Amino acid sequence: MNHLVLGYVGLVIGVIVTKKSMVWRVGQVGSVLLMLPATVLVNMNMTISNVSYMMTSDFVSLGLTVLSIWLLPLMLLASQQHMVSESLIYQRVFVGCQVFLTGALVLAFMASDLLLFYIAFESTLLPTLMLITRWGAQKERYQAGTYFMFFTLVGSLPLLICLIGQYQMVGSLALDLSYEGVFQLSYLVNFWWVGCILAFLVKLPLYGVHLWLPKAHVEAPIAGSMVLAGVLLKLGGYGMMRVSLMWGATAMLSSEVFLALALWGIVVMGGICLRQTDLKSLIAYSSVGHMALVVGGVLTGVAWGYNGAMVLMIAHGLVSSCLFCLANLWYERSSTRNLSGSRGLIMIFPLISLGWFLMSLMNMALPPAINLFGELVAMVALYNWSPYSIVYMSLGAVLTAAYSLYLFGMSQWGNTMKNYKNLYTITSREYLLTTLHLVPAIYLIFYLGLMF
Amino acid sequence: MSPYISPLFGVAMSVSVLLIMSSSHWVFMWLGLELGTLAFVPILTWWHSSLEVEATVKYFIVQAMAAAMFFFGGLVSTGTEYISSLNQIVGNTGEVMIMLAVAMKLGLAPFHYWVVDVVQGLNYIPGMVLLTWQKVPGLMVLTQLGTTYNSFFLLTLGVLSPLLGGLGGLGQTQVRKLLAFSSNAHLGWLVSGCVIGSLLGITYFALYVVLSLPVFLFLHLLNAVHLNHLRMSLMFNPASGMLVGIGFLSLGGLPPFLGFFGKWLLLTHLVDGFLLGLAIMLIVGTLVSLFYYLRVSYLCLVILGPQQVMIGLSWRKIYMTNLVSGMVVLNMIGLVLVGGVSCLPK
Repeated sequence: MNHLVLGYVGLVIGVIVTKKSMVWRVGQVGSVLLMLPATVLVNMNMTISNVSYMMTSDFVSLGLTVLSIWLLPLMLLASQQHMVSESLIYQRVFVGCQVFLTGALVLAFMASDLLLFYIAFESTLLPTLMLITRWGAQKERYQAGTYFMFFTLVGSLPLLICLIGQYQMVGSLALDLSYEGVFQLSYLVNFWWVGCILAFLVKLPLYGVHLWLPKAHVEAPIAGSMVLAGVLLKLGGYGMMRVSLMWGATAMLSSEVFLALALWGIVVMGGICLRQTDLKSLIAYSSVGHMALVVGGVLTGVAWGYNGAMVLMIAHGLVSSCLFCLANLWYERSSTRNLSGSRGLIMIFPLISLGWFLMSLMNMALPPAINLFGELVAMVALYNWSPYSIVYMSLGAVLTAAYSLYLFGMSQWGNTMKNYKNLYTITSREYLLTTLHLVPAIYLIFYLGLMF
Repeated sequence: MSPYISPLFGVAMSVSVLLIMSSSHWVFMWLGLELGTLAFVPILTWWHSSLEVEATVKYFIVQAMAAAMFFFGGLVSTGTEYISSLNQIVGNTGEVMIMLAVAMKLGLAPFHYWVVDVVQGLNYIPGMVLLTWQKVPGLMVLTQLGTTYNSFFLLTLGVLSPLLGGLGGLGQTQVRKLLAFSSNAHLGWLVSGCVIGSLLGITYFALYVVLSLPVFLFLHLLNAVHLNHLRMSLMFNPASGMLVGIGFLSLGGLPPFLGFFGKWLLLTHLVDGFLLGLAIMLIVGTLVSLFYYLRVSYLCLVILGPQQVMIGLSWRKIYMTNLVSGMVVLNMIGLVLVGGVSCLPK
C-alpha cells in the first residue's frame, strides 16, 4: 500500500505548487480521489492482506485507516469558512499540514514494523502542533501546544527505548508476529510493558495524563479538533492493541493499575462533563471518558475487549468529530461556545438540530447506535475481568447519558438569547459536512462486520 | 589585518587536526591543540569590536589553561609510568587531568560557561566555526582516550552536558547563547557516542554539523541577535524564517526530521551496550532542551504580527540559497533518505 502514502506526499506538493484559485479544490478532490485505493482495503477482512514493502493491513488497522482517510476531506470542508481571510501562503500551509498529517496517520496504521510505526506516530505531532498553535483562536494556544508536545513526547520516548531493547533481544519488530514466550516471565517484563504502553496511554488519554487534551481541543481550530478527536486519539488505542497482541498474556501482568485508573476515569469524566460551560471542552472531556472504556477493553486482553474497543474507537471517531463540527458551526456564527450563551438553537437552525439530536443520542450510546454495541462488548470483557467493575461502568453509563442530555438540552432547548440578530443561515457545505459524518455512523449499524 | 592572511589560519587549523589525528604521542596532540587555538584567535577578532576582543580573551585564557593542564597531565603520566602514547595510559592521575583538560577545551558540562560567554560576543560565522570545526581537535583526542577503561568519567560528563545545556537555555532570550547551550546539549550525546565507539561519535558530529550549519547561516542572514528579531522574520523574509524554525526543530530531534536519526543511532547502541540509565538521562536532557527549541520555532513559524504577510515565498532571493536551502531540505527528507539507504539490498 505504498502508493497510498505516496499519494498523500504528492497531494502535499500539489497543494503547495498549484495556482491560487485551485488550492482548496486540489486538496478536496485529491483527498476524495485517494479514497479509491482505500476501497481495496475494505474487501479484506480478518486476514493479513495488502502486504507490500514495510506496509501491511489487517483487521486491526483496517477500520482506522479508512476512518482517517474519510476524515481528511471533511476536515478541509469544515475549515473553509475561517480560512478565507488568510493570505494565500498560509492557506497552502494549512491544507498541506492536514494532508501531511493524514499521510502520516495512514503510514502509522499500515506500518508493518513497530519502529516505522513509532516514526509515523511522532511525525503526526508536528502538523498537529502547527494546527493548534498557528491557527488556534486565543493566545493560550501556545500553552496548549506545549502541553500537547510534552505530554506526548515524555510518554513516547520510553517507548523508543523499549522498542530498541526489543529489537536487540528478539531481533525483530514485525507487528504480525507473536512474541509470546520469547521473554521469560520476570519482573523486567513489567517495566518493559509499562514503557511500551505509556506513550499510548498518554495519547488516548488515560485519566491522570489527560490534561493536555481539553486544552488542545479548546484552543485548536475545527480541523485540529476533528482530527484530534477523530483519529489521533485512536493512534493510542491502536498502538496498545498492537503491543498487547504481540506479547499476549506475558506482558499483561501489571495492567491492573491502568484498568483501575480507566474505570475511575469513566466516572470522574462523566462528573466533570456535567459541570462544563464550554461546548468544546465538554465534548473533549467526554472523549476522555469514552477512551477510558477503550483502555479497559484492550487491557483485559480478551477478544471481546479488543472488538469492543475497536468498534468504540470508530464510532467515537465519527460522533465526536461531528459534535465538534456542530459546535464550530455555531461558534462561527455567534463567536461563543459558552453554553449559557447558546440556548434555543432549535428555534434558529431547526434542521441542524436534528444533527445535534442524533449525535447526542449516539454519544450516550442509545440503541441501535454502534457506540452501544462497542460499549456493551467492552463492558462484558471488563465484567469478565472483575465483576465489581460493573459499579463504575453503570455509573459511567448513567453519567454519559446525563451529560449528553445536558449538552443537547442546554444548547437546543430554552429561550433564544435576544442579542443574536444577523446570523447567516447554514450553508449546504455544512449540511453536507454533518451528513457525511452521519451516513457512515448509521450505515455501520447494519454492517458491524466491517469493524471486527 | 590583510585578508590574504586568512588562508594561513585556515591551513593552520586544518594542520592541527591532521596532527592530532595522526599521532598518538601526547606532545604532538598538545601541539595540535595549541596550534588550532592560536590560529583561531585572529579569526575571532576579525572585526575588532570590543565584544569580540573580550570574547577572544576569554577564549584564549580558558584554552591556554586547558592546554597547560593537558601538558601537565601528559608529564605526570610519562613521569610516573613511562608511557607517552595516549591510548595506552590506563587510569592514572595524568589521564584524569588530560580528560579534564579536553573537557574544558570542548566546553563539556561543568566547564561549559565559557562557551556561552564567548559565543555571545562573536558574530554568527566565527561562532559557527567555534561550535563546529573547533570541536574536532578535542573530539579526536577523546576518540583515543575513550577506548580506555576509565570511560565512566567521560560518560558522566556526557550525561551532565545535555541536562545542563537544557536547563541553561530555558530562560535565554539571546539567540547566540541559546545556540551555545544547544551545542552543549549535543556535545553530551557526541561524547557518549565517542566513548561507545569512535565512529558513532564522528557520525553524530557530522549530523550535528549538517543540522546546525543552515541554522547559523540563516540566522546570520536574518541578523537575529535577540529572540524578538526572529518574530519579525516571518514578515520580511518568510522562507528564511520558516527554514530556521524547521532547522531548530530538527536540532531538537523531532522524528520527521533528520535530527532524530542521530538520537536513534546512539540510542540503539546505548541499549545494545545495556547503558539504559545513560540513555534515559540523555533523553531527559534532550526533552528539557526541546522546550527552548520549541519556543524558538513558535517564534519563527507560528506567531503572527498584526499584519499579514504581503510578500510571497521568495526562495530565489535568499543569497547562499543553493547550499544552505539544500541542507535544510536534507533536514526535512534526510530521515527518509537514511531509511531508504538502510533498506537497500546489501
